[in-house]
Amino acid sequence: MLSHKESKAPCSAFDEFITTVLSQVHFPFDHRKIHDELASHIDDITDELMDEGVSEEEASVAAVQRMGNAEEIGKELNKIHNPVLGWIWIYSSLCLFITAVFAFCLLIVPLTSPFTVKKPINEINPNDILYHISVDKTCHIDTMVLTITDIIYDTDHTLHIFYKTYSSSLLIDSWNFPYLGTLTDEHKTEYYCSELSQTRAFIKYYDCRIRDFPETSTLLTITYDRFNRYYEFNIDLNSDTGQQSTAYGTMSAQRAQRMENSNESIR
Amino acid sequence: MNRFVKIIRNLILILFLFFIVCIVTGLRLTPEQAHKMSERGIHYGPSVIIKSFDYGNYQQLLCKYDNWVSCDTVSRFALIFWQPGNQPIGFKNDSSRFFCFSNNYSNDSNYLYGIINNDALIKIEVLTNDGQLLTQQDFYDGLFYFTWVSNVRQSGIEKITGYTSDEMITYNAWDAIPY
Repeated sequence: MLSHKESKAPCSAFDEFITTVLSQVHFPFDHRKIHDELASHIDDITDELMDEGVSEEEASVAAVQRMGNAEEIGKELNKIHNPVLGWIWIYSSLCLFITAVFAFCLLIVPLTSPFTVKKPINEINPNDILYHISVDKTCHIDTMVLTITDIIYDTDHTLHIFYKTYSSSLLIDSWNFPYLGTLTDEHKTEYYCSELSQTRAFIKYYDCRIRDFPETSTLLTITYDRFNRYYEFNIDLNSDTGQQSTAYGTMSAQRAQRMENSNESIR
Repeated sequence: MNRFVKIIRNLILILFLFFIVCIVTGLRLTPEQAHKMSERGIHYGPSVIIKSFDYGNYQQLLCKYDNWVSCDTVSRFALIFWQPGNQPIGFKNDSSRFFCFSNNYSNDSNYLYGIINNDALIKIEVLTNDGQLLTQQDFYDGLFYFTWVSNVRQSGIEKITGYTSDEMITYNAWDAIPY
């Protein structure tokens, strides 16, 4: 069977026909497809004619003639293969590809971080722990959720406050939260901490380290009071679970009202 | 699937991915959205934007929140996006003073902003370190704002003076309230 796709006769009836048709189709990316479809069509007619006993050369010419007016066919095909839609499709596909690559590159780090980044608490050598309190207490600031998870006191006289933050909003708008608040013990002595953070899949884990914290201290109070946001954690360092209470339980009625007002204004 | 349906599918996917990119990168489509995000990111505000100053590739937004006054900078990114710049946190107003102010440096410009606590003040005048004299008489809901470019990269102020109809109150650079 003669294949028009591979035809080597440059001036054949088929080539002239196809050139005329394609000259009417203004979206070049569809030319190959149209060429192949027309070739397949003409091949079928050629085969039919050859089955009827017509010679191959005559059948080819007759098949092309049966296709009709090349210019008219081209105009009709140009309506179907609309160049405007064609170019929009090409450009939208290109944009989609670029955006997908960009999004993939941005997401690959946070999505793989649970497998590559260790939580700060896992950096502590268990042999160095003098005491460990599981706290697990949560509060909300704007859309950020803050959870104090663990307190560890180590042999270097360093108190580690482990906490994590994440955004409860679909729009991730909570940045790092290095300032946990004012840190005091039962004698109201104020301490400062150096903070280390790690991000795993949009959750940030922190280790707030207070160096030279007295081993005998029985209470840790964390108070945050900035820009009308308040919370307070009182953590009993003698308990295995901290037995903590939060600002919501211990603050004055006046302060509770201020907090309620600020929450309303935030909302 | 015909070509029209493919285009619609592409556009929906582009919008979805665009949304993801905006979320992850912290980029926003308007300066107000970027400003709001920068405030929420550090748990401040939401403030009310009193006046915005557009400098093409960045904007400065003069804002009030409770007792605080701020001048946040947001920057344009890749023509269509806006990202948080610096200083969304303001200073706390001290209403015992005639006026309070703070100054900073951003995007190659010095700026000073503040709040008037006495309605008798009709004019604020700033003398910069490099000798420029800047004046403002029309205030923005009790706020004032100056910006200046100096041949010295970062130029502070020599003094700032508030005028009533019959007296003047002068503060020096060290009277600026830190943010």
